[in-house]
Amino acid sequence: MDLIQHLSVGFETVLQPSNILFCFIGCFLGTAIGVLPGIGPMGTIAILLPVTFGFPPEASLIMLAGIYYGAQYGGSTTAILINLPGEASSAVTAIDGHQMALKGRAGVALSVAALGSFVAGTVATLVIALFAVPLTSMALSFGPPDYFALMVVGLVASIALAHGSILKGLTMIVFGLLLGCVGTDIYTGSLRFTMGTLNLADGIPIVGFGAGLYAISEILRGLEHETDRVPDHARITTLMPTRKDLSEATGPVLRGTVLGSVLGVLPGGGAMLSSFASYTIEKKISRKPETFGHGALPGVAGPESANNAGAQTSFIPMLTLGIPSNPIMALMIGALILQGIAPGPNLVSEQPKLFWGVIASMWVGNLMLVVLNLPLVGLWVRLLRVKNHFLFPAILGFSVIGVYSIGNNPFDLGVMAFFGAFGYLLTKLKCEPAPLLLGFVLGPMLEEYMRRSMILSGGDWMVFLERPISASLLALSAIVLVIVLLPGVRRSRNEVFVEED
Amino acid sequence: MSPDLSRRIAIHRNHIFALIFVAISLGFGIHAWTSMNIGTPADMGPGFFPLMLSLMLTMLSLGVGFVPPEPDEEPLTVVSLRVLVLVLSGPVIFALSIRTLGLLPSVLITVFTVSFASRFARLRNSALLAGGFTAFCVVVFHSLLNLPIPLWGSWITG
Repeated sequence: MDLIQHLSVGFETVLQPSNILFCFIGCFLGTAIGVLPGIGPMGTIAILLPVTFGFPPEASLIMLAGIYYGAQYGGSTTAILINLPGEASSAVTAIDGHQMALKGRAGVALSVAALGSFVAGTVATLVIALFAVPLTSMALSFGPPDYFALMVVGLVASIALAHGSILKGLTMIVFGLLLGCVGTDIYTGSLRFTMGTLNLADGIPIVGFGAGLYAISEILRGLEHETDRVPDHARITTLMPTRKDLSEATGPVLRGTVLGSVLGVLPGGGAMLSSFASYTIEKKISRKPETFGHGALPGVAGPESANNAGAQTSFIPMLTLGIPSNPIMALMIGALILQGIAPGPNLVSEQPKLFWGVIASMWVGNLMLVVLNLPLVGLWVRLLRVKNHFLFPAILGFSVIGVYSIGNNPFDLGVMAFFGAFGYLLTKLKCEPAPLLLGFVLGPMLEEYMRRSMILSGGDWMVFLERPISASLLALSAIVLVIVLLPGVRRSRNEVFVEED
Repeated sequence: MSPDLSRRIAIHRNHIFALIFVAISLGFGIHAWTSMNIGTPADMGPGFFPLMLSLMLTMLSLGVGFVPPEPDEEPLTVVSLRVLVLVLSGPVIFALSIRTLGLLPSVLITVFTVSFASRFARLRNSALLAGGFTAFCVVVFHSLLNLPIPLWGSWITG
């Protein structure tokens, strides 16, 4: 009955009026920025991070979490209505969601996406509540080689099921790890690759780096072929799915939820990976695979549930191990540290109100999103009608304020401009920014655990293969890598992504 | 798709990629090798991990260079220099003016300048956009959220 007791602590925390308000603000903002292509949860959380300094820790985390999963809801609205992913994780939803919209079923696609997300959110909340404590105690028995191997699995997984060339993905990861080396060496205190400036002594500022890589390069891409035309959006007639729709969606929603919950836990997993994987599976097991790409309901229901479940369970490594599974979780850890709270396996025993409050808030937030978003869909449509040449200066304006407000250091903005240009170049060379950022986030920890393992083993590399946990994790990543390089898998992987274009 | 907006580049993507990343990895590697203590596997110095990574990065990026282009690869198009400079000037202008001028003038100038990266920008619209956005930011960030960035900078308050 621990579970009920834990959840009641959580609900007590989140049901305080002020926390409900913060949860609502987070979900609302998250949906809005999710709807708008070009500004994502990363930039928004960055802007609000310094603001949350004055809040109680629970309120701050509850609001920031709401932005993250709210963005998953918002992203699918854009994907379905105008065939543009509002968020990267809704790219797959656009394939069948927009086809449904063209057939006059936009409302059904939207409500199935919302209901699927709600089911997924509910299950994922329970999964976190059930597994967080056992995982925390397991985490306490993890040695440095095990942590190292866990991060390797995450890095490999992040390219295996993502978009684009595997070789380029690997290159991006290694480059990200290398950029993570910039700054002060933890063991000797000597400065590495700082080019003589103390501004880089703490490493490359992550928010400037991320905002450049995503916001600026997205703006540049949007300016390549400008048109004056407002994107056509599909009309919404009825929101109500029929009984047949619901029974058709049930299987995909449940499978997507399970898949998302599992993949979200992996470092490097999370929302995007889950939605791609779910689409592939639904298409493979469908009795009518030819309908995929032409408005198949399971192609919306599965990925939308998966990305929401994945977004939520990606909190598990952050809350239980203190490992960020994606850059947004790295910012969440930043928010905790700002509040003077050390993330790691002790969080659950030292901060039970915070820990369970955040988990319970996810369920409350998901409920709010379902209740609010379907009626508000008209508002989001209007937001989408704002022309790009009015929108991008505003997005850039928000981003610069966010980047600056983190450290009050103008240097961070230089980093943003530099990596904006660099990130644009990378997209032109068909590279994904996501593995780069993940490598950057995990780099310092990966190095620390590698060095610690090697000190303990006296320089013997076999230490990674002798411990059962690390050996099996490393074997798993090797298997994943070999599988995705097999010609047959490569072909079907390409097929999934071709349809998206 | 007017030609004045974008330029086409005829070199194969993967070659550009390999060239850039080999150069980067060699730069990092040589720097680590010459200026850092590498150490031994049992006692790694600050240079060990970076050197290891730069060797991996060199090999991986060379590998990308040998991947043949896709048969239907569309030519590389990039934005014009004017657009690139105007967009990137945003963070730079903000960085240079935030301390001296303060949040209000800084946001105003940044948003106004950046808006001209669009070919649909008109003086009147840009002024309205910059003014409106600045007012919004002042209300939200300064009045409501109490973001600790001064509204007016050192040149104005003296």
